Amino acid sequence: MYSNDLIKGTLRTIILKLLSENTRMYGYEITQKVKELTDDEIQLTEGALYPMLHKLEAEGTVVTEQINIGKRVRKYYQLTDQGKEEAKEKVNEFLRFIDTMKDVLNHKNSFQPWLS
Amino acid sequence: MAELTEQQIEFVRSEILARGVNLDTLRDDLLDHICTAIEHKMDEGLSFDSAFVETIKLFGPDGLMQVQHQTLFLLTQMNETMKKLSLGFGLATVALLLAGIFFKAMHWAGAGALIVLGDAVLVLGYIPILTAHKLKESAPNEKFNAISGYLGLGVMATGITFKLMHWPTANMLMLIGFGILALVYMPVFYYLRYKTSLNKSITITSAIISLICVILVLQLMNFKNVGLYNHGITVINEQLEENLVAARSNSALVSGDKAEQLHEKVGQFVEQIDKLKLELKAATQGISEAEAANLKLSDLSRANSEVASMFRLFERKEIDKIVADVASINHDILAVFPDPMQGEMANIINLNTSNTYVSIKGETQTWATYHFQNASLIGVVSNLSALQLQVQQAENLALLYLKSQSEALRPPSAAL
Repeated sequence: MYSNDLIKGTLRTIILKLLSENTRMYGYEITQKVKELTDDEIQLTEGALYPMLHKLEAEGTVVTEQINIGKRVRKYYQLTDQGKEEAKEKVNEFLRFIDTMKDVLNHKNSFQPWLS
Repeated sequence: MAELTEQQIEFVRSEILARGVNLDTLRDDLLDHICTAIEHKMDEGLSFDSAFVETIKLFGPDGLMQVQHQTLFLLTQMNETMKKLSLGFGLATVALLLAGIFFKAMHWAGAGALIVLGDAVLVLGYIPILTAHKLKESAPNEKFNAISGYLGLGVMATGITFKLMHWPTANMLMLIGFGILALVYMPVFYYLRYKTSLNKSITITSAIISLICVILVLQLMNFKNVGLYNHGITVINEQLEENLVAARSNSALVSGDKAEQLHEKVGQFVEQIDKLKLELKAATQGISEAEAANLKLSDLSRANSEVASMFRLFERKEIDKIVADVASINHDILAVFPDPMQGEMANIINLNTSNTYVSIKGETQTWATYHFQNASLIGVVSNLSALQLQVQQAENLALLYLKSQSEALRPPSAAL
């Protein structure tokens, strides 16, 4: 399990990436998918997922579709065109970020030039 | 795959509601999420009850409420323009009000304009932006509370500005604003807090402390005093005017050319002051002089305002004419008496406008500034009445002396 601080900054990217690979998903499905993909290393807390989904909807990044399931309503979230663009950007940005972090973390000596 | 019954779904729905989630769209999401989670756990062999407990536990204590707060927070984060605007309005309000108070304390020009501008920015700029933002951020049951809070604050701020500027309806506005805050905003605020708070006794304590503050402020305001003061002045003024009417019914005392000249001069002066009193009332109230004649002093709005009466009396120099007239009348009246009596009569009549006076603050003042400057409208009017009466009574003393002299000169036989 990773610390909450690390997950917080990546939540938006994770949701956008998942939605870009699936036509539409509902909230519970997203949490389960994340668990499955990360071997339980990342567990999206419910407390963080829905606020972000609602914000994405308000921004026009995703749209919802409501399906009645018996006595309850299931809301499916789907990327808009604008959302698809943002998903690509966010994923690319994050991949570059990982590369940069790798550089930083692997070159220990660069921080202690007098030892080399 | 297990499927929940209608009753079980209803149960979950009511549990979500009981935990304070009242955003409809969020409630739908959470209901489906929790129901699906329960179904999955039931597939793994748990009973409905324990599956429900396990699922709710995942949200943590107070978790559902946290989800709603977080959602509202994310949805209503101010955008950059709004942040800048509200910061700008807020700082402008503070700067203008501070400058206004400083100018006022230093008696510099423009203090009023600064204060009015500061309050205008507060009431028309800052408060509306905060209200709009608060309305978006609040859960449905908190919206009314937010509106009443900002409304009360706005009305109260306007009232205080009016009070500082001596504008009419200031007290009314302040009372309405304070009433909204004390009777609507505060009770609703504490009711909402009480319903959701974990430590109810702390909520009750802070509610009681706020209530005590409200009562203390009300005691401080003490609306009655000003009313009683104005009422007292009104009664005194009515008595002065009554005595003036009595003192003027003196035609029986007038005999001889000298007496008639004096009688006419004083009569003109008294009428001129009557007119000035009406003009002052009419100008400050914005009504006709006929209407002003029927208006009691205690019914004057801005009764305690000194601005308008000062303008008439001092800036338009009406006071100089009064001083000259009183001096001239004083001279004529004293001239009636023979030289040896004049000193005593001057003390009795006490109409010497070149006397100096010492004010409450210890400043030396002229006759005019002592009696009329910095007095409220209601005070100026009643001081004018007192002056009329004083002049009229002085005239009567002179007439009485003149008459006694002519009676004394007549032969006793003629009196029979």
